[in-house]
Amino acid sequence: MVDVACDHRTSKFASASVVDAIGITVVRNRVPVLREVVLSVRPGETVALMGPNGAGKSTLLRCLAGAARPDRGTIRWFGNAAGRSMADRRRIGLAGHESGLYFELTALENLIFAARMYGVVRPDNRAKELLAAAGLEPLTNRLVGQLSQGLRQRLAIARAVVHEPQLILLDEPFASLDAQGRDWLEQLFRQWRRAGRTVCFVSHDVRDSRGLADRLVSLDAGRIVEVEPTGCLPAFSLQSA
Amino acid sequence: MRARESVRSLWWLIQKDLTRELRAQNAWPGMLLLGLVLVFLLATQINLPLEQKTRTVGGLLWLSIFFAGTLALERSFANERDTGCWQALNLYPVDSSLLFLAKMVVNIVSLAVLEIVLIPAFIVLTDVPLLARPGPMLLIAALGNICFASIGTLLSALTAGLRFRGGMLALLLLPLVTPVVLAAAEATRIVLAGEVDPELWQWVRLLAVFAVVFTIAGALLFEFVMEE
Amino acid sequence: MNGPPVDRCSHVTIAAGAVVACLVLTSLLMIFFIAPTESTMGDVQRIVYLHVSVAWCGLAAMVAMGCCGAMYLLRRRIEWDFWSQAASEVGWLCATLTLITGSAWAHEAWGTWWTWEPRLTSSLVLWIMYAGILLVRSSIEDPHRRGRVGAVLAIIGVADVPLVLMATRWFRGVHPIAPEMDPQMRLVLLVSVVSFTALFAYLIVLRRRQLELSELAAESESSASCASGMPRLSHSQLT
Repeated sequence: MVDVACDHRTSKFASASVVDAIGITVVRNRVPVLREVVLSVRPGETVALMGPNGAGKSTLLRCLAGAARPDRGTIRWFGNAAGRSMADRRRIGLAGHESGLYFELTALENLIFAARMYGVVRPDNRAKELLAAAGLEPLTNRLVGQLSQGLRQRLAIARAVVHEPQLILLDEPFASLDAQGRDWLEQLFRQWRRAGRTVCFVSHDVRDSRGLADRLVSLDAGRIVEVEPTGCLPAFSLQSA
Repeated sequence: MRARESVRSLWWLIQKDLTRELRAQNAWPGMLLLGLVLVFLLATQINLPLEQKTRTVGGLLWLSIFFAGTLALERSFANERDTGCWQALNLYPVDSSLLFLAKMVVNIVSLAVLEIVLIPAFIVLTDVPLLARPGPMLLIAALGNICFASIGTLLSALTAGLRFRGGMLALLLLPLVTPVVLAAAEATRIVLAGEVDPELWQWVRLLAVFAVVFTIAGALLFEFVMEE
Repeated sequence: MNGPPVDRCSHVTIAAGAVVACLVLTSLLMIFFIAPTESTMGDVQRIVYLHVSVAWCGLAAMVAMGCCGAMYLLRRRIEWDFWSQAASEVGWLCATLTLITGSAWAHEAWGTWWTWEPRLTSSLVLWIMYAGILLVRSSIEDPHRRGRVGAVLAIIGVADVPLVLMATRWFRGVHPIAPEMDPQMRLVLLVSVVSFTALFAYLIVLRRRQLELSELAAESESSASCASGMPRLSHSQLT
């Protein structure tokens, strides 16, 4: 089973990158946050970004999503040299540090709004389906402002993937999640792997990262200092997913 | 097809903001209260014969709308920034000009709500028949709202992430909307005087030009404002 | 950073400064000794040569600020923002001088320091615009964010100025009519406008250079405190 998983992943790596960051430099308030970072993420790959606080992980993630503009360097999405098109935006989902949720709207309304913005065909059905999968169905009509941090985190992740993006970017997704939330997220990671989705996430937990990712990319002071392939995943098998 | 998608996206964006405002009432109560306080203070100070009051009340009305309306404009982006929704809006496959137009429409609605309260308040407190000629007054109010909302939406987005953002917005808006306040005040004065005056259309044209220029400028520049 | 390019710059700067100083001196001599005395207002009328020159420079600086702002948004090179900021600071100075000279003239002409005459009103609006833009710029630490915000404000400011001028003139029922002027007065006015334009352009160039050096110094300080190499604007990128 493990060998099948490895071969499955290897065959995907032959295609062009989903996202290429070439010489990315970001300077904020004259402080370099990223320094000439080069990173390619291949289709179907799961990459974990690790490093100490202030290493530039979140900034790199935001650049990969197109949410932050680098001061130097280029980012290419889906092999498109001309930059990020509207079609590319539909294939990218980001759950950042902040929830991106409207506190005055209910959980369902937030998901429906995001689904509509991404052009999802049946936004109501999709939103309900996601809420059920995330274990948030009892909170469908609760205002987001009334939810706990952990529940908001689940909802934020659901919002990021409401349109079934090909490139999924998550910033510390396991933070604030309880055991049920963690199980749900780990299951999502398995589903994404089976579906061939590309995932890049920021994590402080080495164990989580090794268990989920194909590659660990370590940053420090704005530079990539180490890239460690994790090999096949001993923690999960496709059979158990 | 693309136009239909854009109109639909625009509608959903507007619906989202109006729902939020009606539920949470972040901006409107403060705006209405400030407006009423201003009307009260100004009305107590203009202890003049009716004819002179009629000449002055247009300017006072539009100044009140400006100061109270700034409160609503300031709130239109403040809470998008606070919860990371700004970043999410930037990532949706929706043109930035649509984001601008949606916020602008919501701000126009806010200003209309303000006028629905302030104009009757002025009528009651000053005895000036502001709605004696409702057609022209509606036109002036509509154009004035578009002008104010277009430039106010752009500046509100620009100042949303700054220190001292409340004071900044009013300071930046005041000189820029001088033509709007002057034009609306003068047009109101002419309407109240009951004259069929070609000068009225000169002011209306100025408002229309301002509305067009700043709606287009806002739609084009918004992409740069949204950047992080 | 302290090599030959800086020395060459300072020779050219000094020479240009000398030329500008001569022009301004010539203009002042012409204002006080060559321009004929106006029949109704007498010598006080000579303020107009200065007033018109600085008012023109205030408007021109606004346009320059807008153009440099637009170039910054298109090219994203920080030196365009230095130009824009320098133009906004010098423009504010011109707007201040416009108000001062305009008030002085109004006091002599109409016995009041202030009147809602369209030119004074539009000058006041322009002054507040400049002040607002400078205040907003000063509240932003990050140079590129400051450039972006400053550029958008500059473009809006430029688009607004014609509307402000129209509104204030119609408000006071004044239609723009070119005043009758003695040909000698016209010549002095032209020289005055040219020389003060040269002066303020020179100030913009100097200020831009100062901003560039401040930015380099700030970056050096930042990189020293980060205690590792950092990408910074090289001199060749700035020139």
